Amino acid sequence: MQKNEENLRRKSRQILFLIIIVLILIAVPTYFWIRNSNKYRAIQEKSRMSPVIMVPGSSATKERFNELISLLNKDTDKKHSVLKMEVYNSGKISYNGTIARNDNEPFIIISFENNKDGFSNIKKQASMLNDAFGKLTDQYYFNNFKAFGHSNGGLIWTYWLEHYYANYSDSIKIKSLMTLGTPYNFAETSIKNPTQMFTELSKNRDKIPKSLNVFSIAGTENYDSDGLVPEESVQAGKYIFQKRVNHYTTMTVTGDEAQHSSLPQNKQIVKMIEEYLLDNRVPGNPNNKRASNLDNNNN
Amino acid sequence: MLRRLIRGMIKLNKCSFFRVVRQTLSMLFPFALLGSFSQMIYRAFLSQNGLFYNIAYLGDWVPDWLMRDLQAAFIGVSRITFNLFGILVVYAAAKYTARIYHRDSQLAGATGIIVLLLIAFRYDHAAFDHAIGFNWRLLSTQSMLIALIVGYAIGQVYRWLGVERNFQKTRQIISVRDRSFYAMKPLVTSIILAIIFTYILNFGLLSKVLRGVYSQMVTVGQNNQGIWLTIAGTALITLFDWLGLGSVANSGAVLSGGPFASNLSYALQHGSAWNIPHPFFGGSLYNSFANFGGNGLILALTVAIIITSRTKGQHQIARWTLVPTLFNSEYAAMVGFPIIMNPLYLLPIQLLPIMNIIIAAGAIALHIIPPTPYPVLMGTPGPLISFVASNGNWWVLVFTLALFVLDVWCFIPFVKIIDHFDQELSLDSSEVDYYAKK
Repeated sequence: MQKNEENLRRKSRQILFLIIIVLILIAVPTYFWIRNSNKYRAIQEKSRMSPVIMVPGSSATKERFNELISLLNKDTDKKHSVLKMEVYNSGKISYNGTIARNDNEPFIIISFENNKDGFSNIKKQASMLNDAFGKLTDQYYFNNFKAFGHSNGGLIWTYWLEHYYANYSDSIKIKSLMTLGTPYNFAETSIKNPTQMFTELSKNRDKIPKSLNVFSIAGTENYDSDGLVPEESVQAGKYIFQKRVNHYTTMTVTGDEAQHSSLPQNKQIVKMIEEYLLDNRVPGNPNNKRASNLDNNNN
Repeated sequence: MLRRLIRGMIKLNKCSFFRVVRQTLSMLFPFALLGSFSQMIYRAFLSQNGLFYNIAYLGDWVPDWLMRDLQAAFIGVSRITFNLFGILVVYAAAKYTARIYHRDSQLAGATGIIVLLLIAFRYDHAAFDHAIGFNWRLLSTQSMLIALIVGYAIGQVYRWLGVERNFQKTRQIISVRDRSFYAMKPLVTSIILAIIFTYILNFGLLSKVLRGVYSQMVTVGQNNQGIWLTIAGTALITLFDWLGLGSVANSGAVLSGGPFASNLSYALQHGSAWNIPHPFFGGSLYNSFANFGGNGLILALTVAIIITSRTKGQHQIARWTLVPTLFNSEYAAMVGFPIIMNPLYLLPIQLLPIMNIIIAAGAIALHIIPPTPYPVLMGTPGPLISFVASNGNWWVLVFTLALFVLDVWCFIPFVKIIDHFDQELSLDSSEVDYYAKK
C-alpha cells in the first residue's frame, strides 16, 4: 500500500516536471513573438498614415478614379500618391503604382477581376476586398483610414464593415465612409420592396462601428434617379446607418454630370470629398482634429 | 476542529442531493474532459488569436481548407459537449437519485432528459415554428444547477410513484415490458409537473436573468478600471462557477475596449508600460495575476494536489486535467475533482484570486513591477500571461511565479482535508454497493 502510494506520487511529479519543461519551451518563442508583435503595434500606433481606400462599382476597373484623383491633386500642393490593386479570382493580387514615403494620405484603389453586379458577387467582392485589406495592413503601417465607394463599391464596403472589420477594429479605425450613388436597395424604387441584400445589410447593421461618419451622396438627372440608380435606393441607406453610426449625412447633387457614371468627376462631389473625406484641407473638417493636433506636437 | 469539519462533510454527503451531485459529476468527467481538450486545441492552436497559431505561424503553412475543417471539428466537439451538457447532467442526476431508492434508474434518467427538454422548449414559438426551438442556455453548462435540481426531482418522483425492484438482471422481454409499464405513472406525473413549473417559474426568463447577471459580472470583474469592483466581480464569478452556473466560454477573455485601449496606446507610444493612465485596470489585473487556470486558480489547485494528495482518484484526475487547465480550459477540472458544489473548495477559490489581485495591485502601486497593458494570445498558460502582457518583463515573470507558488502553498491544507475526507468516505458503510452485499 505504502509503496503503491509512493509510485503514484512519483508518477504525478514526473508529469508535473515534464509540464514545467514544456512551459519553458513555450516561453522562449513566445518571448520573441510578443517582442516582435508589440514592436509592429508600436510602429502602427505611431504611424501618421491615413489612406483613402477606394472601391469602384460594378463593371469598373482600377482606372475608374483616374479623373477624380487628378482633379483632387490639382487642388493641393501635397500630391497624393496612388496605389492600384487588383484582386484576381485566383486570389492573386497585382499592384500598380507606389505610396510615396512622405505621403500621409495616399489613395489606394482596390478593384476586382470579378466586377459583376448582384448580391452574390458583392459578397465575393467583399471577401476579396478583405484579402487586399489584409495585405495592405501587412505591408503598410496605419492605424486609421477612410473608405470611399462608388456605386456597388459602397455596398462592398458596407458588407465588409458588417462581416470583416471586427478583425481589425482593435488596431485600425475607419474614420469615415463616403458612398457615391450607392444602390442600397438595388434598382427598387421603394423600400416596401426590400431586396435580399437590403434586408441582410440592415439586419447586421449593429456590427457597423458606432464611431463611423457616413456620407451618402446621390445624383439626380431628373427628379428621382441618376439615370441608373433610383434616388430612393440611395436613400434606403438611412435604414442601415441612421441611429447606428456617429453621423449619417446625405447629399443630393443635380445639374451637369449628375449622371450615375459621371458622379466621380462631378465638381461638386470633388469639393465634398475634399471637405468631408480628406484630412488637412478645410479647417472646419471634424476629421482634422487628430491630424492637426499631431502636427502641433511635432512643431 | 478538523475531525468536526470532516464529520460535518460526511453528514452533508449523506444528504442525498450532494451525493447525487458528486456521482453525477464523476460520471460526466470523461465528457467534460473531451470538451476541455477540444476547447483547448481550438483556442491555442486553431483560433487566430491562439498562442500556437501565432508563435508557430500555423496560418502561414497549414493549408486553408485543412485549418477550416479542423476548426469546425473542434468547435463542434466542444460546443456539443458543453452546450448540451445539461442533458447529460439531468440524465445522470435522475438516474443516481432513483438508484438510491432502488427504482428503475435508466427510465428515470430518460424521463429526466424529456423533462429538461420540455422546460427548455420555447413555448412562445410552438405555434408557428416547424423546427423545435429551445432556450439553449438551459441545456448548457451554465444552467448545470437547474439540470441537477430537475434530475434530482425526477428521481424523487420515481421514488414516490415507482416500484422498488431489482432491475439489474432483467433480460427477458416480458420483464422489460413490465418494467416500462411501471414507469408510466412517474413519467406522466413528471411531465405534468414540468409543464406546470415551466409556466410558474418561467425558466427561459430565469436562465436569461442568470446569464445576464453572469455576463454583467464578467464585465465588471474583468473589464473595469476600479479595483474594488474587480474584486467583487471576481468573487461573484467564482461563486457562480462553484454553483454550476458559470459559462465555459469566459475564461481567458481577450481584452478590448476603453481603458484597455488607452493603456495599450499609451504603452505603445511611450515604449514602456510604466505610467499608463489606468495602472489598476481590473481586466489586466485579473487576467495577469488571478487567472492561473481560469477562474479560481484551478491550475494552482491541480499542482497542489499533485504535490500533496495521497488519493489515487485525485492524482488520476489531476494528471488528466493538467494539460487543458494549463491552457485555461479548466472545466474538466471543475467537474473532475469536483470543485463544483464542493464546500471544502469554496473558500480558497473565492479568496485566493482576490488575494492575488490585491498583492499585484500593491506591487504595481509600489513600483515593484510595471502594469501589464499589452494584449495576450488566447491559450497562453496562466503563469506566463503577465509576462506576455508586460511585453516580456522578467521581473513580472519572477513576481508571478512567486505568487503562483504562494497560491499552491495556500491550497495544500485544503487538499489535505479532502484527502482525510476521502479516506473516511472509503471506510463509510453507505458506500458499499447494495447488490454486492447480497
